[in-house]
Amino acid sequence: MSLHTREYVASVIRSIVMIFVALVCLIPLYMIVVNTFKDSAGMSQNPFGLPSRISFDNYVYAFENLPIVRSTINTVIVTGVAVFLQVLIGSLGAYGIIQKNSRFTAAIGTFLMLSFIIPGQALLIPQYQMESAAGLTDSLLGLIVIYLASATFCYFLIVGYMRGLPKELFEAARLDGASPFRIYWQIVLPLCRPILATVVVFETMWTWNDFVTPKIYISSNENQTLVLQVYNAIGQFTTNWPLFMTITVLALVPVFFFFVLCQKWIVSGLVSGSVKG
Amino acid sequence: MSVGESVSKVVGRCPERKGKEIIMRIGRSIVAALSSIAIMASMGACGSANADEGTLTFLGNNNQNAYQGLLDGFEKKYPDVKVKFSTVTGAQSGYQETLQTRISGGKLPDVYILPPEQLSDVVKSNLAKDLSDESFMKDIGQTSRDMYSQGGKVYGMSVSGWVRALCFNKDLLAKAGYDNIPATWDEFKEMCKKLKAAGVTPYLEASDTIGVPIPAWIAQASAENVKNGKKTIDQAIADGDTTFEKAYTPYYAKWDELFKEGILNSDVSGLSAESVVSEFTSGRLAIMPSGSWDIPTLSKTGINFEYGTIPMLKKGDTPYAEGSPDPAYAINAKLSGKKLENAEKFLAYVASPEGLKAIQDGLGLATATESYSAKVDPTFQNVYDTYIKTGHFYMQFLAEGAMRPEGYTQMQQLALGSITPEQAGKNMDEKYATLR
Amino acid sequence: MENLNSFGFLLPVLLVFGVIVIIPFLQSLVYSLTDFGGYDFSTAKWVGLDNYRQIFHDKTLLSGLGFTLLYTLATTMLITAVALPLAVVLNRKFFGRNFVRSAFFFLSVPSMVVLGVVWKYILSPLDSGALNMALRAMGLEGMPWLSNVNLAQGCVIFIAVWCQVGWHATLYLAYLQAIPNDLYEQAAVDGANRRQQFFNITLPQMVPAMGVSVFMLLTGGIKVYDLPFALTGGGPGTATLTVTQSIIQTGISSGRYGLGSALGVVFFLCCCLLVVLQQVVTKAIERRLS
Repeated sequence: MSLHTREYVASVIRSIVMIFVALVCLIPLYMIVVNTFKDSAGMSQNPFGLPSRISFDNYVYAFENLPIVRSTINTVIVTGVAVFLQVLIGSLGAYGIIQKNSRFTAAIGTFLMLSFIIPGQALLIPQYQMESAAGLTDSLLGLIVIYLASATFCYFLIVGYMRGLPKELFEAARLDGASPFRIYWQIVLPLCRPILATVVVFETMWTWNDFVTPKIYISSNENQTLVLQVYNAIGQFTTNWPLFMTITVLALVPVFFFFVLCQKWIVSGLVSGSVKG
Repeated sequence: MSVGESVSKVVGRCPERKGKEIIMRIGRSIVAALSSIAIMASMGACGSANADEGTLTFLGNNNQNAYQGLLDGFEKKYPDVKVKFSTVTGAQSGYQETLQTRISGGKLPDVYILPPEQLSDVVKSNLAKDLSDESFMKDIGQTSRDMYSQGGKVYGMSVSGWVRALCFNKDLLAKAGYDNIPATWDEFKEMCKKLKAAGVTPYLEASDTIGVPIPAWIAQASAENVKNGKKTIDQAIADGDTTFEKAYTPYYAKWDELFKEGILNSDVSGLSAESVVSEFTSGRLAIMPSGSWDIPTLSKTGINFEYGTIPMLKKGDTPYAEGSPDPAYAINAKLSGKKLENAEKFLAYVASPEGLKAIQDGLGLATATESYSAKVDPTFQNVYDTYIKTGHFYMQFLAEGAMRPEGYTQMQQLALGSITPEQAGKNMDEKYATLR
Repeated sequence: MENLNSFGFLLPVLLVFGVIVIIPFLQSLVYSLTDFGGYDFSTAKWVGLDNYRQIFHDKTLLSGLGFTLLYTLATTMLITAVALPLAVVLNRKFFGRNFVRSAFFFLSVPSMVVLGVVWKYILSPLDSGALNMALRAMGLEGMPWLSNVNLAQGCVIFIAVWCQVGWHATLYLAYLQAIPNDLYEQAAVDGANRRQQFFNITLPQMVPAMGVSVFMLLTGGIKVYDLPFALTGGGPGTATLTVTQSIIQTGISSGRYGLGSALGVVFFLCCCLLVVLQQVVTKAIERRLS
């Protein structure tokens, strides 16, 4: 067998094994989707199987009774602005840290790591009081401000990656007379593309799906985010799980497309962005 | 990684000018956040209810659809008042957390749902208006008034209640020759054994409400005590006259018989409520604990079901069940003038026959006030008459209800066989000591 | 001058962190010394260290600590052990790669509330549970998945691995793409096989990524709340009770925000310890490898 055929066979085996494993892992997600086509009774009687009769009632209900479009727009605004700022602030911070290896930067790095250790529950009431005092509760801006705390998370992911970048490049640019900001913007950020992409995707998913923060902060209908609509499926004692899952799916469809779209762009990104080594 | 590579490329291509603008935007939001530091010193800023006078803010604990009838009816009757409704969830802890957080930030709505767990804190902080002498309170039953009373004053108006009874599959029960749940515990166990012999799963409980008959028995014994001029069991525990170990252990042991006699096994220690309902609706399970909330789902499944009462320990014992008045409607104590008037109008409407009907239709709650008799689903009639109409229901409330989850934890361990009923009682005492 | 320069870049992140996290945290430090109920701070009384004393008298809380530690260590090790090879495979070319990458990543996306319900159906201890039905179809015995102390703990850990592994593999993937290709080419010329390449090139190059991933797994693990709560509610008994669930139950459900805050502070100190330990170990490994 030539090396080439062996490579080919290996890749086919890889395909089969990996696709199979992925499909098995997706079974729970299949359960979520399949149950959106049932009603409570149908799900209760047969939670795993295909519905006896495909019903779009949950979707129709959601679109007719819930402000899906309005809350989608809100979610897009909040997620877009918040993720953009988080990544920007985080990467600026990371760049600030790697510029110099001093006690000073090391101390700040350690200080920022505290954000991973502080339990969020302990912050709930003080944060709310702060936003309330600033008049930011029940507003999209208020949500964005709370989400900015994730900038430390972005910082942390990005700084590790930046440390691995070849320092000579910065030096060369500096000798050419480029300002630190210019180096950051035109050299460092493009070099960090893979990790920035990862961080953007992580943060988008996380911000888009968060429902702890909007639950506490948003009280008027016009400011609701998409994920908050799941509360329309919850009653005092029981939850309408099929409706709950429908709203979950509706909330996931936009991010799913975002994800798929990005996947397509990647190929070209890999071709043009060969900054390795 | 590649997924968002292109995204970052877009980000990377932003001209510098845009970058500056972005930084300015960050600046602005930071300034907004910063300005709050100054005010931080005055933590717990006072709530202000000074929005325009024609509106009424209302925080509910059920979904919009459920309240819609009530809100529409109210706005039709009082066209000059606009209700600004918001809701969190029916799941109690989620609602409590939100209400607590909003109160701490001074954002208490005009009218809100007050869960019994939060009554004492809310009253202590002077956030609920005293409703004792309001005209709309006159038909509210004594059980509900007691639940929302503190120092002889009533702070919440609860117009409905729930109980957890036993729902049974009539066809499966018929297999063992029964047409209802028997009245006593021994007869109940005997029936379960017969069902089991007939190849049917007789009875299951869900792990998050495990030990269903225990509160019913405690309530019955407490009522007996009161009749004899003594304290209720929980009151005696709270006052230090007795302990969980002494007072609760016998009832734990009685429930434990289900395991000793092979009617239940340790599976129930990790069984979800959804799985139990699923077993029941698939016709594999004869009896499950349930309340009126399951009726809509059950009636769609074609199962031939009805609700029965909780079996009591001795023949002739008055039947009790676990249950409680529903979370009450409360008025923000800081309201005055026109706003207060509107809030009072709203509560009066809730307590009117029209309002009660809207609540029952929309929220599916079993409404119960003295002047209004609810039209109940026929399968639930017996339970409604036995418990809700008489007020013969009870929920353990020690340490503001914080002992209840501990009780479930202990009963799960009892189901696993890892502790004895005595140890369960002892553990409850230990936990209670840390909470008082 | 240079310090000032880098400080300019650090300013936004420091401001954000300081205002949104540190100040609120200091506030809750103050609360932890009072009997604040979470409603009206003006009525709260100073209680000194009472809240802290109470924490160490609570048995359920201590048992919560046990499972939290087990969960943290087990998920950290398992996820690292699976995600790294997974990332290497996902970095190779094969048909359907984009689908597989997306699939693994998407597992971490839906909320735990809904995943919890789905898994509860799958892991139902009854014969009608999905997994038990599958086992019995293969002629095996059903298992009491969530109704047995050890199995329930195992299930929670397994599901945590299931939903997070794709996430961490994605992180590793980003770092893998930064490994210069000529390292591999050189090794291939030298006659190193795939396994040797993995251990001699990939693994050492991945140490910084592992530092990041392990740090996040440790800190995320010790703060875990949603998953055990959605799946088992802490049961059976206290088998899967976590420290955070205790904080929430104490601080919110029973109106003892001061006590909840004290728990948060103690918990914070424990985390600090763990992280310092992890950092020391990572630094040591990095030094040995470089």
